[in-house]
Amino acid sequence: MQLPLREWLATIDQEYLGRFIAGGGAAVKFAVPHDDATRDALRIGLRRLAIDQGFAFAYVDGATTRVHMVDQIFFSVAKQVEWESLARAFLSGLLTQNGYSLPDADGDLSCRSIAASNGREELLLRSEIFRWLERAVYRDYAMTQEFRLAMISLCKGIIDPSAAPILVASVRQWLTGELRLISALKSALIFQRITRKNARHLLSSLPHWLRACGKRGLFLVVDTSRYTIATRTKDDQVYYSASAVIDGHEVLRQFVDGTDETEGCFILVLAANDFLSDPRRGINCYDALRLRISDEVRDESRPNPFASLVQLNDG
Amino acid sequence: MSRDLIPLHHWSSSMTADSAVVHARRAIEALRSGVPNRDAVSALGCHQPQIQEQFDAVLRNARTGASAGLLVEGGFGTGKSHLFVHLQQQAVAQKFVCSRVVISKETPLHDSLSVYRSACESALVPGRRGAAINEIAMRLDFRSEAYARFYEWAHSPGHALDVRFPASLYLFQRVQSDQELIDRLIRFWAGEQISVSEFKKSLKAFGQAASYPIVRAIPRSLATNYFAFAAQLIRAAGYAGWVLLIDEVELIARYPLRQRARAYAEIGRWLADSAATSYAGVVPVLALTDDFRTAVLEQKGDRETLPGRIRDSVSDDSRELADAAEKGMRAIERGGVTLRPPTPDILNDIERRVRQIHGSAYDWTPPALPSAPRMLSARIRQLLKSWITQWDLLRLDPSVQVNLQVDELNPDYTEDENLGANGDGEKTS
Repeated sequence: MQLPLREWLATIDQEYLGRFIAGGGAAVKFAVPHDDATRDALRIGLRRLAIDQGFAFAYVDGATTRVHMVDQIFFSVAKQVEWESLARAFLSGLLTQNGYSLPDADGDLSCRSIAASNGREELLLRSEIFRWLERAVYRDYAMTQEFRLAMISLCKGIIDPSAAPILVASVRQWLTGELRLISALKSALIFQRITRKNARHLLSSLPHWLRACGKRGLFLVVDTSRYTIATRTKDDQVYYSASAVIDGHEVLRQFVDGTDETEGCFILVLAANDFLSDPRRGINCYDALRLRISDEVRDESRPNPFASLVQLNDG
Repeated sequence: MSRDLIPLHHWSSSMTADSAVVHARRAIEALRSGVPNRDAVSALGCHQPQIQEQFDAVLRNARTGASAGLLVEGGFGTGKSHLFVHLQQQAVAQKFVCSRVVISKETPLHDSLSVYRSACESALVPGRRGAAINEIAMRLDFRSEAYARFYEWAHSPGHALDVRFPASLYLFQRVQSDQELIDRLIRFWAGEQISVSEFKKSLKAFGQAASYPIVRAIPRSLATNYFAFAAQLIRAAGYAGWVLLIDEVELIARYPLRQRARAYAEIGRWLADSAATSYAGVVPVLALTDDFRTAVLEQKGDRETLPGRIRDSVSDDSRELADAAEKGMRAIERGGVTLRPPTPDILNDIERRVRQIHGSAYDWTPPALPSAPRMLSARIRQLLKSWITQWDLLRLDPSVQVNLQVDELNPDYTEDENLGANGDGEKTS
């Protein structure tokens, strides 16, 4: 049974984003759009909703990102995050909370500038700011240690823009999967690359950081419609083997199971039309996912807009 | 009122109204999807006194170092995962580190090192947040008796630990100022590799390379060492022990033959009575569907044919593997403790609680929903979903007539080659 897109978007807006996700909840939903037009309308609608409600929005397309690997999902999301703006917002909040006046919105947040405009000695103010960062970021165990250290580095890069610009650039490259040598991050006390082993924890740290920086959380759309394409296409779009599809379903299963450890995050998985029918690549090929999201109890004539898995038409 | 009923959970009066709503909605989202979470379990409690009693006994024995485990059986949708969340809360409350591992493609039961890594990742440490092994390591007090005992245990030849483990402990104690090496050592303890040359270089700096003659080893062969070392590390850090909850074990039915045999062998090790063949120091609780014996060991023929097929295969360890697989199958056949279906009183109590949570979540008064006669034999999972679906739809339109359709969802036990390969098509083991 299909739901009109408009009705479902209204449900997500009113019943999820506004109070639940913004209040620290987390949810993972699966949507099967009836056709490409519905898919496009859904993506546009969700983006608008998310931004209007103050969330950071990220769209990860399985055609260009290998979404069966959680580190690739993280890199794609990281490329869509405005890391410097977030760090600036966080620092602005930290300084304001501690009684400091700030320059204009896009003003200079360097220690020198803040010290000058608040009648403080730069050297002593710097020590204080680093202590605040330690308390507010390093001891915020809702985020994994590497993520905390990375965010501290980004904040320090704003406080002292000339002190370690290469380190700051390296941290951003690390986040987006583009860093060549991990040794570049030694002074940030980050010693390993982002891989499938640690990416999930970094991904679940991100919504918490977004909220600390004034956003309401993360709205993530992962498009897995390429999963049901069984033969390689001649273009350069990602092809998923049957085994890779199961890897991908396992990543999604972990998202579903991981909502307990996540706050302020809504993940929507956009699946292909034949996700429900394809026996080798759809929902039925991986029990662990099927048993979690199947609509096994439903009304005979009315679809439930709160269900884990919904089918949508362009109504 | 049945003594099995427990007091209705009241959302904490210290919570703000908004946070109470978020917790209630988290619980409803979890129940709606059939994936129990802490909020749902806290609100509904657990109505399995027999299992609770056995688990309490297991924890009591674990404090003295015993590792005898438990096998929990129940039909699909009867509350095994809900029980596990509850047991995890109980274990942590009693100062045990507790891991909950879900057997999956990424964490296959036959790959004990994957299971170890997953256990480290998922471990809850009482009173701490963050990466478990890191938090545990940071609690070590080098001057304490507990640490001294741990150090002595690690260095004692009687425990057959690979020498890299005592070496890592030696280094950890001595290089507290080298953050990078500390990071590497902690990651090693969490299941990652440190190369032989890296170990040797660090030991040489202290003139100890000869005292710890490290040689190459196949990572998977170190799995029992990892578990034993971590279990002792946890006790040295002041915790009561390590409980490992292994969920969805029935997935092993879908593995290709050899991996299935290895998975059975692992089950045998986890449920062994003897410390010589078990993962010493770790208290395991395994969850398995209650039709596994019939559907897989009997009808699929694993009991009769799997050991023979393994012995017939051309492989050095065929005989040993077949013997170990048989042990595992016997452990399953001995059976464990079975989840009890809820009594009508308990069902009514659960309905009342879920109704209250739904009301709190969405700020309305859901109607009471006695179970329709045809639902009385339904699994608890289906009942929960039926109530929540009705309330969801009634809240949107109180005039609607809800007529439910219920599909029977059952686990699939057919073999799947893709579960034995990674996404690049390579066999995982």
